[in-house]
Amino acid sequence: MKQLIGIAHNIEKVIIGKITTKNEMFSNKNDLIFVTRNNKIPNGFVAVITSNNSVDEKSKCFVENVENISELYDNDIVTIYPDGRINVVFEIKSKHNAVFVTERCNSNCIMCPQPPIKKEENEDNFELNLKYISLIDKNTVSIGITGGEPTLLGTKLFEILSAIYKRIPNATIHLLSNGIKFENYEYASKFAQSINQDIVIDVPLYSDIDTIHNSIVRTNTFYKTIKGIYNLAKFNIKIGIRVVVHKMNYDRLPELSEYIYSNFPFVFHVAFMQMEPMGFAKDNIKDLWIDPVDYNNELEKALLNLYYRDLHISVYNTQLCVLPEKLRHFAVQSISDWKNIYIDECKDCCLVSKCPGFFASSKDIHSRKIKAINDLQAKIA
Amino acid sequence: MNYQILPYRFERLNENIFLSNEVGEYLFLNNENFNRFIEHKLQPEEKAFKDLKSKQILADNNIDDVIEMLATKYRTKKHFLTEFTALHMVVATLRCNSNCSYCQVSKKDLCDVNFDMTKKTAKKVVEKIFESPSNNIKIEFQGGEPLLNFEIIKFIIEKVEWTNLFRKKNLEFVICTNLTSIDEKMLKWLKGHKVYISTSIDGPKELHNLNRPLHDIDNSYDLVTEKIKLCRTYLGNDSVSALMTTTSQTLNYFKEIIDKYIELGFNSVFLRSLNPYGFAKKDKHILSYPMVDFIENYKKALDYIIDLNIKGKFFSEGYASIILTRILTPFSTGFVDLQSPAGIAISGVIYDYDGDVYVSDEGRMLASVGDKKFKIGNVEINSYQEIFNGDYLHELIENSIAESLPDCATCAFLSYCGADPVRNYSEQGDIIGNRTISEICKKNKSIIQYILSLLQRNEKDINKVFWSWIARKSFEI
Amino acid sequence: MKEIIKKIEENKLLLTVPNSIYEKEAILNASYKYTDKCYINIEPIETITEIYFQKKNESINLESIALDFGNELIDQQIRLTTGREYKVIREELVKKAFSSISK
Repeated sequence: MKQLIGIAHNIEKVIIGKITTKNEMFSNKNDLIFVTRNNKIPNGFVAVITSNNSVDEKSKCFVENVENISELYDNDIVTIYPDGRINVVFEIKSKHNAVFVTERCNSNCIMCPQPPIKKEENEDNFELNLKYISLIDKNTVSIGITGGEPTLLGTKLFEILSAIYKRIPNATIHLLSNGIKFENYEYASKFAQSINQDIVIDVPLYSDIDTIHNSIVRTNTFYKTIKGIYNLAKFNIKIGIRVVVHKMNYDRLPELSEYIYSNFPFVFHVAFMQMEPMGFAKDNIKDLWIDPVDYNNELEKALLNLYYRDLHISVYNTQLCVLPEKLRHFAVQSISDWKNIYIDECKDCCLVSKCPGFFASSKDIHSRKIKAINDLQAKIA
Repeated sequence: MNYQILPYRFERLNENIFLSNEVGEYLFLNNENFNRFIEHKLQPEEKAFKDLKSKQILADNNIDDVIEMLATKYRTKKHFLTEFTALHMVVATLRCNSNCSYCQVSKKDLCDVNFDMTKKTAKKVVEKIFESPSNNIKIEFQGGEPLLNFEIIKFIIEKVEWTNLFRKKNLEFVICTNLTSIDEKMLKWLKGHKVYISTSIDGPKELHNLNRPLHDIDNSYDLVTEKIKLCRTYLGNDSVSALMTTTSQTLNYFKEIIDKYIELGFNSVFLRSLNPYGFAKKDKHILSYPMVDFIENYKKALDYIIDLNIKGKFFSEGYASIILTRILTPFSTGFVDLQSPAGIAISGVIYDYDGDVYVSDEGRMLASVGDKKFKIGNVEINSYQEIFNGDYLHELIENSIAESLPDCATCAFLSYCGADPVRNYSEQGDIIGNRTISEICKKNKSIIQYILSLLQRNEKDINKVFWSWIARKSFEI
Repeated sequence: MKEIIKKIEENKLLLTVPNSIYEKEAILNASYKYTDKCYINIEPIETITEIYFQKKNESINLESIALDFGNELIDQQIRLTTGREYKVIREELVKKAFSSISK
């Protein structure tokens, strides 16, 4: 997520708060973090962020010498760490906000961009998240729950869900889960009972062949995920399938699409996505990299298979110039704003405003066919 | 053993082996791979191995999980069983103003109201309909010409709608009519009741008039086409569908018939072969034709329609659409003739004008020539339980499970086909029948094989056309 | 290829097949396929089975039936052999499908 850095004063543990640039005399300043260019630290806020580096009031709680404070907007939510890191956990201008509930995971995917950790970095994470949710802008229409694997929270995940319902009951929740935990019928049932609002659970399925899927997630969990999907379906929960495409699974995309339709015709959405070359993906890039143009053929077959079968489909993280023209309208701008970049070549492209662009980490690892589209006739759909 | 072979069936088709599993998922193997498959010699790295595993025809681990998945799909495919009974056909009257060459039902004097369904009978029919456990209820009015007893249609629709205020089932009404007697007053009434029209057009004017003259005038074509327009004005463009019946006179004119359907604004046609019931059977010598002739013409017609679609005209053939849905989707279809157990009474049932209940329309037609073999009761005399849960119906159904019929049991096209005891009985005199002399087996098998060989070609254009028929809409890409 | 045709006359055909390769049921199922064209009689004799065909009408070509029958018999035997392998699974599948939705 977007991160700023400064010099922290009197911050002993993680602070979470909502950004404001207004210091109104009679407003309630609880939970608010004031952003200023000034060296004066007003009273009442949980913390103050300033770009100034000559603050005198050393007894107060603030972060000074912070660059790029213009990137902070009213109603953003940030966490401030004792070492001066400021993480923007909720961006009011973004459509991709999420509650990051755990860094732990029961999969060990070969292309994971954020490799899981064994033990939570911050023990207070859960309480912080509840606080975070209570600060979310009430007009938010979509919120993610992500990890790690969110279901590792066990029944505590239900508390997160009910906090979200309390704060933004009309928003759609997008929960990213590998589905393994839902193999347990009781858990799936309790989960379903804790849902009071629109929710889609996005489950990764990388192949129609268990051994290929398992060699990607590096656990023996293919059939657990499948059972999880069936259990969720029994409770009429909307399910999306996510397929990260790379060298290990691209060749069977058409077969995978048929498999999804035959076995899970009830799925709400299927997304095919380019991998983010970070973390494990970067470590294993030799085994994983295939230029996306080289699997366009398989991708097209898979997409058309599902399109004709009337399923909602999307292509994530994929540059428009890489896709055949007729598939471009399936592309979705899906990369979180803070890590979404365009490269030099994109400057002259007339579709750039509609293009999903790149992960920041893809800057040097991308298709050889990236090329500005100048044809004014070029259409997305 | 390196892998377990799961339930499958096979048939040799176009130099290859066609394999299907218990739920109709299929693939083609070449001879060599098929032999290696049955000898357990395929290796996990091979494409054939993976493809068979993906279609759940073999499994090398987690067999219980795979069976669980297959069972779920099997239940979905047999979902029609839980929709007992979805289609209720009601004979409003036996009177008819048409004089069709192939008519399957005895024609009655146009003025003899003794062959109209009475309100007393209609009331009982509606009661029985609502005793069906199915959540979806489709009521189809038939005849004779049902509009000649429009009063009973109104009576039944109103009664059904009133009852449904409390029952909340999904309702659909269809009137199967020659349309000649429909008028604006009827249409104004029908408009408020979500009614669809199913009519018959046998092709261009000369052919239609040849097959379907009225008692008093020969040119029924002009009248019907004018009435179709009128229906569309009142009930909407998609409110009217049409089907045709193939006689020896129309057999060689499928192309002209299809062109006429398009000209008349239809986006589908149902190419029906003549069936051997009632009058059609009596007049077999002039109207009938060998099934192989129908099949050959049907294939050509299908090619022609596919080509029209590829050129940009969305137009489908009804029978192929049903078969494609059965081959390519995991869902169950409602079409009565292609079910196992047979759709008799399960998917559809017919109430004759006098309250007699038959397991199918064909069963009623046999009765009209004197054989009441497929009558299962009468709405005024029998209870729902007696009619629909009686020993006789049980016996009929038990003998119409294709999975255990000779030849059907091992047929690789079983999951796309069905059992038809009434047809077997009418053709061969027993409900089980011998497949090698069955006309309906010949027809279904040939058409299914033809469609499969088109799918085997795996051509983008054809696949797209087929899916557009299943989805009932055209696709942009 | 060893001939399975033992005798062929104008209206009659006699085939013999070894019982060590083909089971009774496979022979029955294969024969069934020709009941529209011929009157058929099946007779097991020790290690072989004899199948008699008699034409139902003139247009029938007994020679092509003889050749065809061999292939049909192989397919029927494959169905039996592989069918035995999945028989229990099929029963379980159908039972599971129609048992009420369980966990």
